[in-house]
This record gives sequence, structure tokens and C-alpha cells, in this order.
Amino acid sequence: MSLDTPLLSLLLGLAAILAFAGANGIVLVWVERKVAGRCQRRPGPLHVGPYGLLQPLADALKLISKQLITPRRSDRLLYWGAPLLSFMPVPICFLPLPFLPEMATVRLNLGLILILSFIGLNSISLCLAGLGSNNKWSLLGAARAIAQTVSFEIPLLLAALTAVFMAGSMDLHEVMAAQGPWPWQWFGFMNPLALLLFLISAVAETNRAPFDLPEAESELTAGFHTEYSGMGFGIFFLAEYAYILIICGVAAALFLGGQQGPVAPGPWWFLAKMYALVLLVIQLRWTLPRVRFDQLLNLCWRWMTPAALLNILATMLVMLALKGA
Amino acid sequence: MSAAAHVPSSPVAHSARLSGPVSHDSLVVSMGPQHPSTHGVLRVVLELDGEYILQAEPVLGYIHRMHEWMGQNRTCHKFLPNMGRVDYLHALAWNWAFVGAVEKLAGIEVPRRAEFIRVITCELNRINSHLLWWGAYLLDLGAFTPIMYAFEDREEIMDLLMRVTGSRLTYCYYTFGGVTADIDEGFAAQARRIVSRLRGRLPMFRDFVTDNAILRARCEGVGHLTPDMARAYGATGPVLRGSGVAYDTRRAEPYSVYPELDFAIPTSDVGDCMARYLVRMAELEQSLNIVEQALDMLPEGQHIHPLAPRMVTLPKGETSFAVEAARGKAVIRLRGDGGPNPYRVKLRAPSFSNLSLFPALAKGTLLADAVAILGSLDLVIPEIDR
Amino acid sequence: MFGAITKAYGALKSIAVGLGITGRAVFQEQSTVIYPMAEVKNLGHYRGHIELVGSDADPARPRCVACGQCMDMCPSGCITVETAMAPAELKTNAFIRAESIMGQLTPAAHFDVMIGEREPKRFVLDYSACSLCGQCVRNCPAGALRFSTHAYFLSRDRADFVLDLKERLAGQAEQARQAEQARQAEQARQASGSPQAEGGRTHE
Repeated sequence: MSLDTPLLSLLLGLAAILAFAGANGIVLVWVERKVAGRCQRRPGPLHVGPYGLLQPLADALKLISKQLITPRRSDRLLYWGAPLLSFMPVPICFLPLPFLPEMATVRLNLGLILILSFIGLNSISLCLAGLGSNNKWSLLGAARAIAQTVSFEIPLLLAALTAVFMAGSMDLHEVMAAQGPWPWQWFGFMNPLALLLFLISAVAETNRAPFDLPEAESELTAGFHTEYSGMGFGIFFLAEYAYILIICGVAAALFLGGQQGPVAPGPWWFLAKMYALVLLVIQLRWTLPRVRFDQLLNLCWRWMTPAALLNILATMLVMLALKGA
Repeated sequence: MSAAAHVPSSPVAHSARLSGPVSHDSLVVSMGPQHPSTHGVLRVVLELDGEYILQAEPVLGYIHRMHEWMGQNRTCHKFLPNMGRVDYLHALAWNWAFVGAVEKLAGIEVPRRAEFIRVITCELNRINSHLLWWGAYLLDLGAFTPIMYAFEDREEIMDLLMRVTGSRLTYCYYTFGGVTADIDEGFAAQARRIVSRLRGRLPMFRDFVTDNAILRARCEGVGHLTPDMARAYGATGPVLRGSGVAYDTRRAEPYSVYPELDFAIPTSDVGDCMARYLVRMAELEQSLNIVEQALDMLPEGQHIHPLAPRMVTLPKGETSFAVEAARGKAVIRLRGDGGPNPYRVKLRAPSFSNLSLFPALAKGTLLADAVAILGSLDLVIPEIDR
Repeated sequence: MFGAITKAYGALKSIAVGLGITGRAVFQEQSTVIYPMAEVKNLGHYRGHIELVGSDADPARPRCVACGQCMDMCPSGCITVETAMAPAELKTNAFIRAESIMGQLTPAAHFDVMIGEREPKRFVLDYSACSLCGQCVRNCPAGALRFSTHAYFLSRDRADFVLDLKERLAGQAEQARQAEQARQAEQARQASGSPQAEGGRTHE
């Protein structure tokens, strides 16, 4: 039996993806805490394992061993369903990411659409978590999560669409292939506004600071996951890091040439670009204050959506002009 | 779907705390007594429409320690350590307020050198307090890193103050007739080093935080306080000066050697959170100036009056003594009846009056704005509850 | 339009400046001290619990004249001094003046204490109640109290924080005596100039 059977490759791919998502969560927790520490001129995790590398494992162990508390009068189905729903789309979103040179786990010609549609499910899980917790702070967090994600999906899609227009495909591999090896041949360099809009929307979409309004610690104590203990919280955490990685991977593929690189093009370029973007997102969190809710929506509707629309228009005109010439 | 529908908890329990009527479709939440941005055990009951605040009501009493009653039941010496626990961030101001009131009533003289030492240490303590406020305020606004940078400098000042006071936070350093320990050359040199170091750090603070677009957006135009309203509520300190009233106890009711020192009273006419923020940042620089000047002018002499009594007996009479604390005007009103214990000690805490502004300022704002406003008032809860 | 662009540019620039500052901090030296591996160096001015000061003649015997003023002064009531008559040979004709509120009717009465007449039998500090205000130290008429630099002091048992300072002083004096002896022995060994350690020892 050869490995080419679609079912077998799908199963293998899924197993690999889940392992990668878990390992990524653990690595990113360490990276986040280390970066946070160094930004604040303290060492960060240090004691568990070399350079504190095993600290996230110890944390995970702690989270797993903790009691799962269900708040009184909460809706058990929604309350425990929410973290699972939050993590469920993760493997699907990883499927079309161009990790390997020629193949993704499943090669889809609408890969981008798949990722962007399933990433939206996360906001529903945040909403359910907030609704099911029977906690007023959680409820406020849920309301924020919905409004924020629904709004920022539009500039996110429009910015992604710009790159799609430039490449003429929704398959991330083809978008990647349409860009050259050198930085000035990348869509992010040709169209920096689209990259900027995509990154800002990505940070908002993944609820990361300065747009971490649904959990806004100093306002809503912990927002939608105020009541979660143990792995309930842990899964939200894991999902958050997985989404950061996915959206940074999409950005790397769409705007930074993906596997293209000046020397030795290959998947390592993709990984390097993806993690560089993740580092940027992490550092943003440890640098900036949080924006206010209405400012966030203003930013989206009054600045980014028009800018994305104008940008798409301008891109089309330029492409038409180039075609005509 | 599960049978247990989402039942909003009854607002009756909370609405007992709100003075106004509570609408049926509004959300009543209790912010505190353990909430990340109430900085201690303050509880604010909020009635929300979505995220808009319809009414807010602070609930006090979670850390009431009966300082005033304790003052009536012990000698002045025994009561003095309490003063470090009233406003633990600017403990020396309260030290000074009480010591000053006792000295005024009992007629105890203070050597000139001691006055200068008091000015130096009190201003260093003020810088400490403002630095902590800066970090904590940014924490309220969601930035985690500034507090660590503030603490780097704060640690240095705490080390310095530990040289003479022996403590790091709840100082009990001033005593009736002077200060308990003299400062030496090493102290002066280290103080100058800290002043110049902090001067070099302030531009970084400005680039990093003050000029940040998000901070500006969060603070500008939020929590607008008119001078009339600030006066009506008895606001003092940076809150009042942020509304354009140049009232500073160090100038308005001069005490100690402040009249000899050259410093400005930073004010801002805008009256929003940013104005209060900028006033405090400007005060940091002014305090640095004062420390430097006082170090230059520091006379030789004794740090405590040789005839200062070990046991103070308050004569019959009443007096009050006000100092400018980091949060505003801290006043001790003291009445003696000739016995060993004061007849009455009244503490006028600036945070208490400043907090009373909050319901008025927060009304109609967003929850996030309320956090920004609460932070900009720079409250220390033990001072409010006393 | 132009205004909007400058505004957006200004905002992005301020964010970039902030990123630059935290980014630089990543590569700077850390400013924290990691405790078990390193200790802070500013403990020279640390003010721990109080301790008794030994008298000039006998470091193991406290200077304390057992006047009880520290007990009076302590806001938390954490000092207990039990007095005893001192051995007769210590008696002096010198007096020190203490102030007390012992009689509430005659506040701030002064009374004189003869040095060497009485001594503390036990001097007990309940450190768990102490707030380190220092009123006892600065008001001791005999100068018999000071702050220790005893920083790393921890226990699971509350009783461990009830210290008999007189015993502690005796222990300290004994330690100091032994250290002094060892130092003198070392000095003597070096002063004898003999490179052979044997000679030094026999000399001693």
C-alpha cells in the first residue's frame, strides 16, 4: 500500500498537524515569556530545564492536574463545549498551509478561503464561553469578541484579496510561487499597505494585545475565560497560539514569499518568516497599551476598511495598466 | 441545548449599593474588591448599559484600620509608625504631616539641616510614588512593560532611602524635632547620581509611553474635569492641577524650607486624564530639581534638636498641619488636652476627596474609560479607608 | 486626506519607537537579581529586628539598664523585659535620665536610672508582632538597642520568631570571641614569619 492514498496521507497529516500545534503552543509559551522577560529586563523562565525550556511543560502538567470547576448555574454544554470548539478548527486551518515544497496535507485551490472561514469559528467559541460562564465579565468579553472579530474579518479579507489578485490564485502555493526569491519581488514589498492592513487585522483577529479586548485583564478581569480553570483555560491558550501561528503563516505565504528566498529556497524560509512575524506579534503585546473598544471599531470601519478598499482598487488599476502595457 | 438557561443573577443584591434607581435591562457589576485595576480593596459598583456606565458608586471600608481612633489611644510616639501605613506610597508625607502637627502644637523646634533632609527625602519619596503610579496606570491601560522600567529607577531610590530610614516602603523616619538619622556624603552622592540617571531616563519614558498614539487616544478627552468641579469636590494634588488650578500646599501654605526653593507648579488647563498624566510627569522633573537644590543648600548642623523631648505631651489646644503629598493635600488636625495621648487626630486624606470625583467623571463613559479615569486619580486605598 | 495620512504615520511611528525601546531591552543586561543563585548587595543598610548592644567592658553583657522605656515606647507591645538586680560589682554612681509615662497622672515624668544597678534577666522580642518602626532604638536612654542586619530569617514556626535577645547577645559575643581568637592565631602564625606551619603552632 503506497502512501499516496488520500485517506492515509490525510490521517498522517492530521497527526503531524496536531503534534505540531501542541509543540508549537509549548514553544510559543516559552518564547512569549522569554521575550516578555527580556523586554522588561528580567530573565524570564529559567529554572525548569535548560534556559527554562521545560517550563511550559511544567505549566501544562499543572493545568492538566488542576480541578475543572464549573460555575454554578452555568450552561455546562456551552461552557465545556466552547474550549473544544475553539481548538477544533485548528487542524483544518493548518491543512492548506504551505509547509512542504510541493505538497500540503491537502492541496486545495481555495486554501485561503478555508483558513479564513474556519478561523472565524474561534469568535463563536469565545462567545459561547462568555455566554455559558454565567459571569458578567465573561459576558462583556463575549460581546467584545464578536464585535471585534466580525469587524476585522473585513479588512483582513480585503487585504488578503489584494495578494490574491496579484497572484491570480487562492491556493497559497500558487500565491507563493507567483512571488520571486528576492524581497522586492514579494507582494508585501510591492504592496506594503496590504501587508500592514493584514498584520493589524491579524493581531485583532487573534485577540492579541493591543487588541486583546475580549480578555482585557485590567477591565474585565480575564474576559471570556474568567471562570475557566485547568485545561479549559489551557485549551483556549493553546488555540490562541495556534491561531497566531496560522495567521502569521498566511501572512508569510501571501506577502513575504513563503518558501521563496534568495538562497536555498525551501520550507525553512517559510518557517523563519512565519516565526519572525510571530515574534513581532509577541513584542507588540509587551510594548503597547490596549486600545479602547470604540477606537478599535473606528480603526476598523473608518480607517482600515476604506484603506483596504482603496488599496484593492489601486492594485487592480495598476495590474490592468501593466497588462495593457 | 441544555435545560439550564442562562439566568442573569438578580441585581437586587447589588442595587442596594447604588443610590440611583436601577433599570431592569441594565447590568450591575461589582468591580472589586478584588479587581486588577482597583489597586487594592476598593469596590466600585457599576450599572452598565452595554459597556456604558449609567452610574458608579464606590464602596469603602474593606481596609479600614481605625487610624484616627488609634491616634486617640496611644502617645504620639506610638502613633507615629501608623503614618507610614496611611499612604504607603508616599509614607514620608504623612510622617511629615503628623510630626509637623505635633511640633506646631507642642512648640518643638526643628534644626535647619533636618528641614532640608526632610525636603530631600520627601521629594525622593514623591518621585517614587509617581513612578509607581506611572507604571500602574500603564498596567491599567494594558501595557505591561512600563512598570518594570519604572521599578528599575524606583528600586534605586528605595535603596537610597533605606540607607537612612532602614525601611523600603513604610517609613518611620521623621521624628518630633528632626529626623532620626543624619544623611552623609555617600547619601548625597548617591542621590545626585539617581537624579542625573532619572533625568536621562525621562526622555525614554516620554518616547516609550507619553508619545505613544494609543496612550494618547486612551487618555485625551477622557474624564474631563472642570476647575469648578474639582474645587467643589475638594480635589487636590495633580488632579486639581490637571484642571488648571495652580494649588500646591508647598506654595499655598508654605511649610519647612520650601519657600527658599525654586520650583514650578506644573498645571494643565485641559482637565482630562492626559492632563493629569502630564502634570505628574512634569512633577517628577520638578521634584528632581528640588532634590538637587536642597542637596546644594544643605547646611551643616544637627539632624535633630538636642532639646527635642523623647516623650511629647500635647498642650491644650488645636492645630492642623498640611503637606503636599503625591496625591494631594494631606492634613493632620490635632487636638491636645494636656494628657499623654492626643485628644483627637483627624486625617484629611487627598485620595478620599479625589475618589469622590469618580462617580461624576465615570458617568456616561465606557468601562475602559472608567478604568483610565480611576487610574488617573492615583488612589491609594488604605489612605481612603484609613 | 493628507491629514489622515500624517496622523496614521505619526501613530505608526510612535508604535515603532516603542517597539525599538522594548527591542533594545531584549539585548540589554537584565536588571534583576536571581535570588538563590545571587544575592542583593544592598543589605549593608538593611534594618532587621532589633538586637542588644553589648557593654564596653563585657560584650556578652548588655548595656541595658532595664528601665523598661522600650516596652513603654513599643506601639505593638512586642518587647518584654524581665529585670533583675545586677551583680554588685557592676554598680556605678552614674545615672541616665529616662522619660516615661508610667504614671498617667504625671505624664512625661523624668526619672533617673543608675547604671549597673539593674539588668535584664530576659529580654524577649516577639518579632512576629514587630513593625520595625524603631521607636525603641531611638528612645533607649542607654543606647542599648540597635537594628541587626539579620535579613534571611525564615521559619515555619511562629515560635521561632520569639527571640531572647540576651541569649542572642551572649551567642554573638561568643562567636565574636572565637572569631577574634582565630584571627589572632592567624596573625601570630603569620607574624612568626616561619614558612613552616609547624613552627607557628608550637609557638602558640
